[in-house]
Amino acid sequence: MSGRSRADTFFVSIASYRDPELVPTIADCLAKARAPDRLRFGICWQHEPGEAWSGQLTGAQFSVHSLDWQLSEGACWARAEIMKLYNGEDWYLQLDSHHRFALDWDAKLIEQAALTASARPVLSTYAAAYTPGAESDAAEQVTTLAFDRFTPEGLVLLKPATPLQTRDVPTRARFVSAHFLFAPGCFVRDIPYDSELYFLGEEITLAVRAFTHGYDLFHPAKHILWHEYTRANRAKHWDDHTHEGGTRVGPGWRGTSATR
Amino acid sequence: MAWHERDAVSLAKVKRLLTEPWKGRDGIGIARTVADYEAYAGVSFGHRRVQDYTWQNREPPNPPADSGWAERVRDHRIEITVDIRQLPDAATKDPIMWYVGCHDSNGRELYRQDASHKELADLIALNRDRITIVRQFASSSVPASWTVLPLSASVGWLEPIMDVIP
Repeated sequence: MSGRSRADTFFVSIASYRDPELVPTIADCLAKARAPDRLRFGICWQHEPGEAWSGQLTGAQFSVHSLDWQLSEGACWARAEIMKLYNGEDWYLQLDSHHRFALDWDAKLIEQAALTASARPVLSTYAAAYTPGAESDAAEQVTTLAFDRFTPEGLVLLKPATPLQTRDVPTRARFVSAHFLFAPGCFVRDIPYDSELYFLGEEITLAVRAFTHGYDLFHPAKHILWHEYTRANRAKHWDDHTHEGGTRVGPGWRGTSATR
Repeated sequence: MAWHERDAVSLAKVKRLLTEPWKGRDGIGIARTVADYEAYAGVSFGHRRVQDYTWQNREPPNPPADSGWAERVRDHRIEITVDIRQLPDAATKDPIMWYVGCHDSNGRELYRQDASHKELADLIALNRDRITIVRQFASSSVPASWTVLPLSASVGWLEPIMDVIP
């Protein structure tokens, strides 16, 4: 990849399920970007019945697929819907709806992509953790993704890990994270999200599909953003979508990666 | 549709993509194969095994391996019994964590899973002279020894404890 070009527009994919962190996440994303005017957000907003869209997030910069949470079909379905909002931006950045960002995160991502010397780099990791309301306690941290275990169904589960050594350039990766994935915009065309997938298996299939499409996988060598992991007492799709209307033990309890 | 119904369809599809891949819109690409990915990442989806190099999270691509590597990977269950009476007080008084690692006969770390503050608190609360930490992992190498290295909040790293694995 060459360095920063004249355009370098970003399509930022955010799937948000009944998440009060959505607006603070987008506000911080814009505030910390070096070129906020080059960001366009595609959002699948799965909201409370009758909830109004934030007046802060209006205009051409925001494409919003809005629906009552009861109509949601899950995270992969939401990300597939968001990909339909892509409009040829140079870069695709896939996030969740609960993040905070390092200063100039957009420029850092472009620099990191250039340092890979790959024509089709994917930069991804399980980002360092933050807690809403205690953002100042969150340390900048470079992380990687490591194998955790196989599920009984044969799926690979991942866990965050610290790099074995500090490097100035991105390190090769074997896995990707669904909450932080940065790639050239052609990723949307080449690897459209499979709306039939639900949750577990999302990340290993993304890694395999990207790799077999000729993308090269990397972990950023710089801290780019934070992610909220535990999300205690927040609504989860699997808690809401049961036949009985009661609470079942969802996939979030079955693996590290599911806490994303 | 309830989440667990979606999940069942999804799990079946993921498993199929990894072991009987297809090309197309929701499938794999044509630039590389799934076998190429498995060799690169040190993973066998069919055998549900990973190489030691992958366990250790070393940077891919993995070193070349013969086609039978996954069949040589074995499950290991290691019981690490530590006599608390032989430890400095700081090891159990204010532990941050204990490093817990298993090594081969050359001293190469095969597996590491530290004992967290909570795991230690639960073990220490049993109020026994000896505590047993259990670690399970898969490796193509034979684990020959274990090492425990307590980290105390007040003292820092303490002397390591080591023993052979019978």
